[in-house]
Amino acid sequence: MTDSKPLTQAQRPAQIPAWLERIFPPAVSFVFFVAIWQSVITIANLKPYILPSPLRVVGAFIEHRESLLTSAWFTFQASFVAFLVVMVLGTALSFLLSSSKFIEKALYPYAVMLQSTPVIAIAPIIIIWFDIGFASIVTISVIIAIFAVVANTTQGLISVENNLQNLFKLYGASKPQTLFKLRLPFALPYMVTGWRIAAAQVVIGTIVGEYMAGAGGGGMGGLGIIIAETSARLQTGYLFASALSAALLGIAFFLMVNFFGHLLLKNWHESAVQHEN
Amino acid sequence: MTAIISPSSTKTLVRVHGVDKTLVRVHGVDKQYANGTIAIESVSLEVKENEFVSLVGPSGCGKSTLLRIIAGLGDATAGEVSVDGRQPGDLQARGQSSFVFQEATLLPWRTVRQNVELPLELMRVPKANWDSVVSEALEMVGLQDFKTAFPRELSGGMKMRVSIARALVTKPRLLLMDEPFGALDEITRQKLNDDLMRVRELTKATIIFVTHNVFEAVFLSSRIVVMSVRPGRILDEFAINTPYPRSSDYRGTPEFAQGVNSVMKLLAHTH
Repeated sequence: MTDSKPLTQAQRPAQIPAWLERIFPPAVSFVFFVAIWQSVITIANLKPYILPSPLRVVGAFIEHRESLLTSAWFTFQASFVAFLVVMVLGTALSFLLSSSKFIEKALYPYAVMLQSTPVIAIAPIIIIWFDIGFASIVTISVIIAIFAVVANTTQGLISVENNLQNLFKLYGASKPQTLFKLRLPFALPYMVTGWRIAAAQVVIGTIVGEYMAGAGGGGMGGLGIIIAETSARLQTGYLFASALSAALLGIAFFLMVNFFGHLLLKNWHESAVQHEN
Repeated sequence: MTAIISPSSTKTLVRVHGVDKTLVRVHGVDKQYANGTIAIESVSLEVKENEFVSLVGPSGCGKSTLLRIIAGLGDATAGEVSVDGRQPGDLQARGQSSFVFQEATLLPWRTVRQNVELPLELMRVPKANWDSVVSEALEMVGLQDFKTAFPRELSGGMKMRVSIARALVTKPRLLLMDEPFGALDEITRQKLNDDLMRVRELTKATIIFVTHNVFEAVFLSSRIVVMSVRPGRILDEFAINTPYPRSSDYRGTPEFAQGVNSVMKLLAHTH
C-alpha cells in the first residue's frame, strides 16, 4: 500500500455481513446452474420425462410435499439408527483390531473384503434373513458405512506416539488409565473423521437399502422407495425432487455430525482451531 | 532411602553426609536389538547422588539406549542395572526417577496445568496434595502464568519447560534427560540450560543428560562420559570441577573454553 493515511470509518468499503459473504458465491453458481438447465430444455426442446424443468421440480416438491416429508423422516430415522450402530459397532471392532497385531492381521483383510463386495450381492441374503423393511435397510446401510469408522478409528488407536505410551508406562498407568487418558483422546480426531465420512455414507446406504429392501406404498418406505417407484413410472419431476431431498438430508446429517465433532475437538486440535495469521 | 550404616564401613561418614552415595549402577551392560545390531557393549557406569552426568557421543552411539535402560524403558541383553538399589522401572519406585524426552510429549487436549498434573493422576496421588507441588513445579520453570494455556499456543522452548515441570512434579531424585533441548534454537537452548542449573540447585536431583552438544555438556555437567559409535562403548570420562551454581557468565571463562577443547579432542577419537 502506498497510501499511508489510515482509512476512516467512512472511507472503508461498506461492511458486508459474514453470512452474506459465505452465501453469495454458491448463490451465484446456483442461479447460473438453473439458468443453463432451463435453457438446455428450451433450446433442445427436451421432453419432461427426459429432463424436467426446474419449475417442474419445484412443482413436484410442492405437490408431493407431504409424502416427501414422511419419507425423508423415515429415511432420517433409519440413517440415524444405522449411524448409531456404525459408531458403536465400528468403535468396538476397532478396539478389537488394535488390541493386538495378530488380531489386526487376522481380521483386517475380511473387513476390506466386506467393504469391496457390492451391496447388491449381499442384499438378497440380508432380505432373506431380516425380511423386507427397517431391519434390512439399517443392516445394508451399516455395511456400507461401517468401514470408514473402523479404518479411521483403528488408525487412530494404533498411531499413539510411542513416547507418550512410554510416559504412561513410567508412571505405572493402568490399562483403563491408558485407554481413557491417552488412547481414546489421541484417536478422537481420527474417529471424528470416520464419523464425518460415515454420516454421508449412512444416508446413501439407507436410500440404497430402501431401494432394495424397503416396503413400498404410499411413501411410507423412505426416499429410496420413492426413487424406485418414480423412476419406474417415469415421474421424472418427482424423481428429481426426491433425489434433491435425499441430498439435503445427507447434507443436514453431515453438518450435524460435523458440528458435534467440532465441539469435541475445539481448543486443541488443529482441524478445529481458528488460526489468526 | 535404605542406607544401611554399618560402623565398620569406611564409607559410613560420606553416606551420612549423603554426598557420595551411588544412585545409579550400570555394570557390563550389552544391548543387542532383534535385528542383530549391537547398540551398546559392556558399558559400566556409576552415578553418585547429586552428580550431573552427561553422555556425549556421535548419533548412533547408544547413549539414548543406555538412558532408556536406566529408566526401565528397555531391557539390557546382558549385565546389571540398578537405581537406588532397585531394578529400573520398579513400580514401587515410580516417580522417584523422571524422564524428559527429546520432544515435549505433551497431551494436546490438556492445558499446561493438566499436563503437569498427569504423573500425580496416574500414580493416584490424592488430589488434595496436587496444588502445591504443581504450582511449585510450574514456578521452577517460569510458567506460572501459563497454567491454562494449551500446548499448541506455546513455543518449542515453553513446551519443553512444561515437559520439565511435569518431570519435576513427583519430586524425583533422578532426572533422566534424552537430548531435551536438541530441537531448540541456540538462544533458547542456553536459556533453558541456565534454568536447568537453577532447577538443579532447588531440587538437588541427580541428573543424567544425553546430548551431542559439547558446549551444553560442559556448561551443565560435573562429569562428561564420552561414548564411541556402534557398538556404543564408554571411551573416556572427563570431570568438570567448576563449582555449582554456574551462571551464564561461566560460558565466557577460560575454564569453560578449556573444558570444551578437551571434550572435543576426546570426541575426535570416537569414529
